[in-house]
Amino acid sequence: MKNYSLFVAVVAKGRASKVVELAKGNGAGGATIFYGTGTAKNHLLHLLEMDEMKKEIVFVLIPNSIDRIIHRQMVEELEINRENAGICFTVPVHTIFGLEMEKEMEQMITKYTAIMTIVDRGIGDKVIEIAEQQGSKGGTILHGRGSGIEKKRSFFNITIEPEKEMVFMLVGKDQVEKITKALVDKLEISKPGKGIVFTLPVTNATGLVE
Amino acid sequence: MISILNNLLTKFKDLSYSVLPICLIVVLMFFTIAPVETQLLLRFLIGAVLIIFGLGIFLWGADLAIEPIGHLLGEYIGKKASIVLIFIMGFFLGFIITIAEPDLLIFADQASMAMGQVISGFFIVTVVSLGVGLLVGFGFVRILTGLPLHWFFAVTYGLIFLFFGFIPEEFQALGFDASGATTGAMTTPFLLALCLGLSSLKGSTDGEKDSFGLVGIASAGPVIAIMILSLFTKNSSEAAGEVFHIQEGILYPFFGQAKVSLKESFMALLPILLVYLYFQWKVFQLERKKRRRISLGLLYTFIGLIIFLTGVNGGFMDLARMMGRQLGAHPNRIWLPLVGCVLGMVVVLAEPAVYVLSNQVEDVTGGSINKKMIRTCLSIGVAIAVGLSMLRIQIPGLRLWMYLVPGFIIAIIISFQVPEIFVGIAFDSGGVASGPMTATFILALAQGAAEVIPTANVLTDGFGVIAAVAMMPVFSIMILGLIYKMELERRKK
Repeated sequence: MKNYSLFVAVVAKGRASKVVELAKGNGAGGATIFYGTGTAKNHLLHLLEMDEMKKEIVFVLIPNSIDRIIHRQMVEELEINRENAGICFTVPVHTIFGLEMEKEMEQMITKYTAIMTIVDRGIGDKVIEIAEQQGSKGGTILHGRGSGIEKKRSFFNITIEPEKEMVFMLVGKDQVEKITKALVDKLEISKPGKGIVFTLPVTNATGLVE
Repeated sequence: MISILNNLLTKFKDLSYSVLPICLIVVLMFFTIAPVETQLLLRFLIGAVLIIFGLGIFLWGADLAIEPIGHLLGEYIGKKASIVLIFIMGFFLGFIITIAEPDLLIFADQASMAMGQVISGFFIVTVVSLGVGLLVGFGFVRILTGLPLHWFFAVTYGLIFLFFGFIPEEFQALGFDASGATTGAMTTPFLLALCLGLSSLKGSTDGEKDSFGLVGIASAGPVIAIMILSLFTKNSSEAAGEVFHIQEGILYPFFGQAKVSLKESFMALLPILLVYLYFQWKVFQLERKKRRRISLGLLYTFIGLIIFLTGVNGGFMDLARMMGRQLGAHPNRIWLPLVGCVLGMVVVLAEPAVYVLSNQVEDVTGGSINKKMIRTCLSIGVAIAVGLSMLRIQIPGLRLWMYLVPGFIIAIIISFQVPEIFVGIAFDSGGVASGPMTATFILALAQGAAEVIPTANVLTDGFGVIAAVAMMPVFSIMILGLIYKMELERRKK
């Protein structure tokens, strides 16, 4: 069994699909894409209020073995090391549910954990509800689109990328198992197409009210 | 620094891609089937450059100013507790942005002539503005009460087609042209943003399906207003439309046009500016940084619109008219509908509101419905609309209602099947596609052709084009909605 990590890339709007293509080409699964805005560092443009730039943020789970290859290709093919071209980074993952598998990586023991849940549009509220019943203090919903593992079929050259929601929750280490288990059971994560839950180690957190 | 410049250049490059196809096709026609004067071609090319820059500056401004103003206003209005108050505010906003719309004034004079001058142009403007006001008011209430859009459009278009039975064809065409004239470059982005602001109060998931549709609702207003007016005018005198002169010179027409465009842009901006100033003073009280963004944005939209309109009216209109004449007179009759199709396909891409709408769709759906799909659908829709309209100019037996009635009826039947957001996007697209670019270029082409074809009528056939352009995108976006739904269901399995 391979170990997985979370690969995150922030690129100019319109280039996310290239990142996904690249990741998939190396054997990664589905990706989730969000919109955001950034600014270019330039005084003149700022004066003219023309410094805003639209960005896309790509989240994709990748096997550790391809991490280096992806980063190298991001430089080679997307020229990510150029100014204002974007950034990408890799984050270790604790556990993954979904992707038709259940997997626990080597654990780094941390006081807190971030639980990330990616589900279809509209289910995000339910995710928070389930987690709150188990003692979570709430969560944040990001709205984006998913690019699944299934082979894309182009119909009139139209590719449909369904709307997704990613719920981001920060919880203490003793709550993680209870909450993820509830999410996996109630959302039927083990069935294909129902979504994915994974957890990330968090070394420090402030603002969580006990 | 270089990469920042690159960023700006990419923006203009994107826009060039949507204007260049028109240029290529026109130049191709210039050397083959429609050799107009070289002077006109040069003016056209200068016009194209102006359009690229004007569009770029305008869209930047719309993003900085029109969008946030509409959004803030929508949010403010939506928080009002009373339905009556919400309706009144919608009515007021709809009324003032319409009455100031420069295209509507020009239209009303033509309509007044067509109605045998029984009714003054000013009266027509007022009635149309009242119509838009009422429907925007209703649209506001609809967003908050969540009445399904497909029912709204089923009833509205049912009513409109009922009227069709009682009024002559000129007025059927005039009604839709009025709706094309009211959805101008400035009002459409504003209405789109208002709708988004209001619906965002319902939360991002619930609000999503109501994020669109206000432009579609508003553009039904003028149609109904004109239909009612025409019931009271028995006279349908054969008004020939204005006498048309081709302007001389290469640069001179642009200067003349710039003055007109300046006035028109100012008029169109004025109501939004006043509303903003009032609400900023009384309600928003934004911090300095945000005020600065909005002020600069308004300035950009103003300058951008002047350049854009100067380019369109100075460079594109006369050429389109001349090409229309030549194609209409061409012995091979297939060229007119064929060229109409191709031009329709590319012209709609240079329509400012098309950018605003497709970007907004992408933002609201997180990119799931992307702008490429929307633009492709609009292109296909408008291409078919213009092609069919050119056929109608050639073949006297084809009537406007033969396109409109089945087209809208099928679209409305489909609207009960597709995800609700597509219903809003589809009807908005109708208003969006019939903007200043189409209204100038395609209308001039059609009128040019109608002038030289003896069986054609400049008034009905010319204006009928706008009606078709307002209808077909509704249809094509509904089809997109069906495909989208089917694909999603297929994925679920």
